[in-house]
Amino acid sequence: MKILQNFRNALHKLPYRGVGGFLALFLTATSCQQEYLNPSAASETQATGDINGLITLCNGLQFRYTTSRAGVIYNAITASGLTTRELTVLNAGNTDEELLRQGANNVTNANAVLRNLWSQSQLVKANADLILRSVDAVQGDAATKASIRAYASIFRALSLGTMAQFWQQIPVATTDNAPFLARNEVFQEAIRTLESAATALGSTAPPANFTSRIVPGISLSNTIQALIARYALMVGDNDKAIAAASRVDLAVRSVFSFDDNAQNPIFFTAFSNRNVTEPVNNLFNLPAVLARPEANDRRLAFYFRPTTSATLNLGLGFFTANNAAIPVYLAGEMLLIRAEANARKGDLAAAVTDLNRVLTKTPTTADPVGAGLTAYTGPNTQAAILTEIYRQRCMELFMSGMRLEDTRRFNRVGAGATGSERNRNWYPYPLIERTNNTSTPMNDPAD
Amino acid sequence: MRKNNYVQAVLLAGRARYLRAIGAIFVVFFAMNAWSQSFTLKGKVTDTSGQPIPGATVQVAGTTTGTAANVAGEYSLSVPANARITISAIGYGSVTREVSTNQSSLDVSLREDQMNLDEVVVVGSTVKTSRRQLGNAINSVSAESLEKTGTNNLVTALQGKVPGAQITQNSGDPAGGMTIRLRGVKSIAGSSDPLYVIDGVIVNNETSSVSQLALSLGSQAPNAALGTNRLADINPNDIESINVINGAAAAAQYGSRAANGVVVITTKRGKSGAPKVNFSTGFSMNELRKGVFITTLGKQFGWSGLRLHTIGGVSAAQVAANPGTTTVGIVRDGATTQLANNLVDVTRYNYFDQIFRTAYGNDNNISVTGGNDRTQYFVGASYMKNEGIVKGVDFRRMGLRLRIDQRLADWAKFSAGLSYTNSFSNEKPNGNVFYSPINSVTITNNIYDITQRDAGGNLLAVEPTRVNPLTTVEAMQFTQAVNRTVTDFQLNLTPLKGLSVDWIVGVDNFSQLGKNYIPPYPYQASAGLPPERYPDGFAANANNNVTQLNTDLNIGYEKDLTKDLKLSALAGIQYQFYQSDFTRASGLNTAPFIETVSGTASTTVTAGYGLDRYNLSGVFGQLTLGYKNIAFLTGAVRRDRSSKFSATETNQLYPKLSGSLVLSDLDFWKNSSLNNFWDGAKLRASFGEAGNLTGIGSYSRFWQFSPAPFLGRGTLLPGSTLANPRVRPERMSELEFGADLSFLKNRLGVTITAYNQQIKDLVVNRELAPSTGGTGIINNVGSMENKGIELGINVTAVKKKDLSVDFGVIFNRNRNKILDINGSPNATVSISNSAGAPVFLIPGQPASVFYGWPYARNADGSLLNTPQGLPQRERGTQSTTDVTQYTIGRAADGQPSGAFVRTVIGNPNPDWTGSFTGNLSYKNLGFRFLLDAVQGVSVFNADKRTRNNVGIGDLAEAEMLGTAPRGTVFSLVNIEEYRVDDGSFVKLRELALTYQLPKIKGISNWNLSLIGRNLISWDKYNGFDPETNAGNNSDLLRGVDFGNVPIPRTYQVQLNVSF
Repeated sequence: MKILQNFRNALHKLPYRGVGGFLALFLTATSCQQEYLNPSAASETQATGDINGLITLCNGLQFRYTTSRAGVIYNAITASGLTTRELTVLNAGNTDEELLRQGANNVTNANAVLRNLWSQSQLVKANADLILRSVDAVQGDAATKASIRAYASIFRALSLGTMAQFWQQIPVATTDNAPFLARNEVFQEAIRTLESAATALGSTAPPANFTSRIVPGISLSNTIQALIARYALMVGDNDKAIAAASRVDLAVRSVFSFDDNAQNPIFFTAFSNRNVTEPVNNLFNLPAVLARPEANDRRLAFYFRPTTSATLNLGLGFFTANNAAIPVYLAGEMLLIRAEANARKGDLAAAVTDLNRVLTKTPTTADPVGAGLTAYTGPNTQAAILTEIYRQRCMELFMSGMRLEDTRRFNRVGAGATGSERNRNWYPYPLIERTNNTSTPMNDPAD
Repeated sequence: MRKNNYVQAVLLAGRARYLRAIGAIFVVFFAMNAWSQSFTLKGKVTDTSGQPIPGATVQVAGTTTGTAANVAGEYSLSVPANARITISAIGYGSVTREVSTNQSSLDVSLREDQMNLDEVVVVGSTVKTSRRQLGNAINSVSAESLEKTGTNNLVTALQGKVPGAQITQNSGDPAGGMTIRLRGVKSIAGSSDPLYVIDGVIVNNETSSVSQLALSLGSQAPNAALGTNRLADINPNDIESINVINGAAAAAQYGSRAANGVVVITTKRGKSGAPKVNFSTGFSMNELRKGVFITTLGKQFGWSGLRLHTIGGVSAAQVAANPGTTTVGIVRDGATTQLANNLVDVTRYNYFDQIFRTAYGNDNNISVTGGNDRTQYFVGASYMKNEGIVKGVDFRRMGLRLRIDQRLADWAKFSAGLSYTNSFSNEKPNGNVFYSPINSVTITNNIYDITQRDAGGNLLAVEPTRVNPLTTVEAMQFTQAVNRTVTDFQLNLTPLKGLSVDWIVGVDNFSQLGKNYIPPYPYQASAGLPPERYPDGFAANANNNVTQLNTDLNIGYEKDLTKDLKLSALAGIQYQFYQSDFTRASGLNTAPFIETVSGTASTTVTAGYGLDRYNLSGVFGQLTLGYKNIAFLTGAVRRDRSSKFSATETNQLYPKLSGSLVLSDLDFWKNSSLNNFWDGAKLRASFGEAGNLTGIGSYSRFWQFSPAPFLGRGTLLPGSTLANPRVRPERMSELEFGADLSFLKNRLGVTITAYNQQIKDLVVNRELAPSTGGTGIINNVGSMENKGIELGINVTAVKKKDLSVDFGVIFNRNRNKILDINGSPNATVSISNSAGAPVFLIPGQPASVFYGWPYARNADGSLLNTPQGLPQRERGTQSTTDVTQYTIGRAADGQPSGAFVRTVIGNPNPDWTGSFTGNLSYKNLGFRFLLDAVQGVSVFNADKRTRNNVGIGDLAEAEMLGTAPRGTVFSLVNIEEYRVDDGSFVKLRELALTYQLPKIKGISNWNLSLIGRNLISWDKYNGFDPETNAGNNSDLLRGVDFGNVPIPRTYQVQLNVSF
């Protein structure tokens, strides 16, 4: 205690005011516990609590889905293209693409193309859920809210539907250890999302408040119907597919837009050079059992460079420039959906009518894919017509990312068998999901 | 409150109070100044052999009044009546004597003391203590050992001189990065870089690149810390001494920033006496020490246009199109590939001859010091320029320094320092990308004459998709200009006997201005370069402004409780603030003649602004009890809060406890015969906790919704990394034991330390299932440990008037182990990188091991080759409980079967590091060498495979000559173990020969030195230099060689003159 006494005495002898002043200063400095926020980022509360914030999040959905080598578009087109041999790899240094090209067991759950395809689809879905959860609560007009709902629904459906084309089961809920649903249920969930958006949207055109803020390119009502048609076909609901496809105005383009900063990912990564991937050949690499493309098929010139070059990529299509738009769907897809659904229903006449529209249409600005051929002359049997529809899908919808789904739906020769038209039937569940989600199916598909 | 002018706000708000407070102190203190009556004391300080001890400190005990002895060991000091005078010098035991007014002279003889027990060392801020009291290791490096090192980078100059430190030069560029790791890696999310404190100011050593934006904006070098670490702004010539505190206990005063250790730097100060001018000038030459093998054999497989001729599969169509081509089927991993096996004639070149040069540099310093016993000043100026061995690369640094020490009263003084640095570097793309000087050579088949030009003088294309290596050195311009000031003001008061009040405020402020320019390639049409090489040009400009402020108030009190028991108490408050404003703009498709972003295509321009801010405040208290100046016990506690922490985590408490015992000062030891042989022994032990907040971002506690440039419309992206609900610092607790021993009358000094660091609450960017809505979350969930020993030995072999010889040995051994990443033994984290090195964090393994595909081997360890006699990957079954283990699979024919398996194939953490130093001086000649060793370390040599795949490496030549089977290179492509090389080395780091020139009038001392740096490396490495890192200053991506610039061999001539 003597120590303390001494210390206290010593303190008393100090020039008290001065030191006191110092201490006061320090205490004010140290107790000033400022909350530093990041001025270059927004918070969840800010972004989801404001109607315009939700529109910026809608743009974010499209940014994540469409842009960069990590985005869904690049990986869906690349994975499907390599697995069904639309594409080949030019430089084996692109390891994950190369392993997909090799197929079979070379495609592991560590593949980065598949990881990105899965992860970014899941994130787009989760971000869309965030928007759909928040849109009712924000202040704003009903028409803008309906447009936001439609936009978020389109991307929720696109990400679910895209995943369901590559994996047998998918988690739909955004949560820890989210349960996996069978892919047919996932397609149904995508269709339900779209249908509810269509109801909310009704016939009102998106208001200026929305169109002036949303990135240009996507026609909401047409895209909703086109995607319902696509997924209804994939799930085998032929009537719904025909009805929805018929509601799409084929004169209206609906595209993912790009510019020099948010570049067309296939062009930027692959087709601007000869270092990553390019089409296997300039004939859509149709399987040997199918007739080669007619020499006068005008789609050849659209999708492929006429002469080969050491430095220029063989592929053209919708991937010719940084700012080249990629269609969300093509007019030809709607016609072929109707043709296929009718053929499967046994209405061969209706099927051939739409098939012929695809065969005979010529390229226009709105729809640059046009075969310019003559009408179908093959046997008038369901099998022959379906085969021709598949063949046309391979060409009309080249590099749309749907060929893997098509080869399965048309019962083409599967992975591993002689004459196979794909080197995998299904993809393994990415490691990042398996490691961190206990609901992941125990076994990956064998092939 | 979003204000980015926070510093200013605080200072303005505080100004009135400051002025009043300072005014009040001065008035009161000056009034008290009449209290004493002083007289002048003179004398001489010598060693036991009667030789003078220049620079010995003579001080009035318990005050800051003091002076230093001159060259003749003489001093003169104004002292108060009946004072106690302490005389001390580095390397000698200190002596305290009472003097009275009637005594005008005091001659003292000091006893040599290798252990420097009475040396007072700065342990941080204004806090000093004698070594005697320290319960932990503290390693001092003197100004002398930073001179004549052949480098003008402070960190480089420390190589081989600090026990417990692994100091790596990551790049051979003159502005390249350097890393210091004390006792291993401490964090798997943040930096392991120690805290640097110069004269009480916390200084920034971050690596924020404004001049490698072509790489960083395109995410082309993930996980690498590109560019210069900012200690490059410090001139080693300005340094008086460096104290390196390796352990948590010693550094506990710095709380949440102490876990990586603290490097306390003291700069040169003025000394009273007539003005003294020191001048030095040096001229240096840098050259490539060792090249890598590049074949110039005039052959190639297939045909001259066949790219990757060693590994490229050849189709039937290609065989048909290139008559004369023959092929052989090589089976790899079960698939057969046709490789060309005919040879055609080509002309090969070694492009490195066009990239490297002999480079020159100069280094000039002048300083003036002087003053009287009340005022001392130091003024210095420096200029240095050093060229890199890669053409077009250099680094220039100019500095001005000023320090004034002013005594206000016997019990009050202040010190103010101002340091200004202006530096400028010309750089080239860092390794990592194929448009960097080294990598463009490595990735290009060398059958093109790269010096050919068209009529307009433009370079021509080489192999398709590749950059002509000359373009990288001739056309690309990456520059960085830095202006930096470090200022401090320090007030030291001893108002009462035993009481000290020290206050310091320091500001470190710098701006970095970066210009980045890649002009359009004139040969793009024929080369077809991919977008990541910016075929149509790239320009970016960036500006980073950083302000760091710290202010510390420390109050100390010393009291003899009884005759034998002494109490020292210390209490302090600290406030620290950090702000970085980063602005950049970049664009593509540059217009002719314009080298900045202003000339890029408007549709490609993007810009960004980042503001990083945090503050940290802490209070600490410390008590030391000393018994008879023999045994000491210290306890301390620090409490921290920071704006980085979550609201629930603002009370971080760091305790420490340490003790020391000077056995050899006990009477029984002094009186025993043991003392004749073993004359010094101090034991020490400490336990302490410290924090690390480098792993947590200033905004980690929030889920960030970040803007993205998208078609001109407002776009926000919810972060893929979710918010950490409980952000807190990583926490290390460390137990350390050690001893300082001296033998043979101080001829042999030994210091040994063993430590155990347990780090918990490691920040981990934990992977999430994407179905949760994120791909990662930053959580404090990991743990890690470092265990090791540090040994230092100093031997004075000969010490005579004309001849002295001494040696020093340092040995360090650290074992780092990640204990837990995510609660699961199989939770691995991959550190992705552009080199394709399989760098992983794996529980149970040291950080950043290389984990990948090994060779298939027979039981005896020899390679199990394919039936074609080629190496192959191992197969079997991977263990489900330990990712590093597997069971070998063998088919009936003895060939590997099962899945490809992975294991740890290399470790970039060395088994041990060490150094051996020798000093010899004979009359006017001085000789010094430093051997520096890093042993038992792996390097992932990415370039080795690339050279062979491209067809220009050693195995490629062997295949062409037929001395290796065709398909060898092809077989090795997927065997990652092939790329792991032994990176152990011993380097002749420093060699210096100094001649003391004869005395002439007007010059008090002058000498001429011949210096060599990195003259020889003894290693078995296949590349340029095993001391390298493509991750540059990254602590997690280490030991990867991918286009790195090799460390040059340097020769220097230096003249030092003192007037």
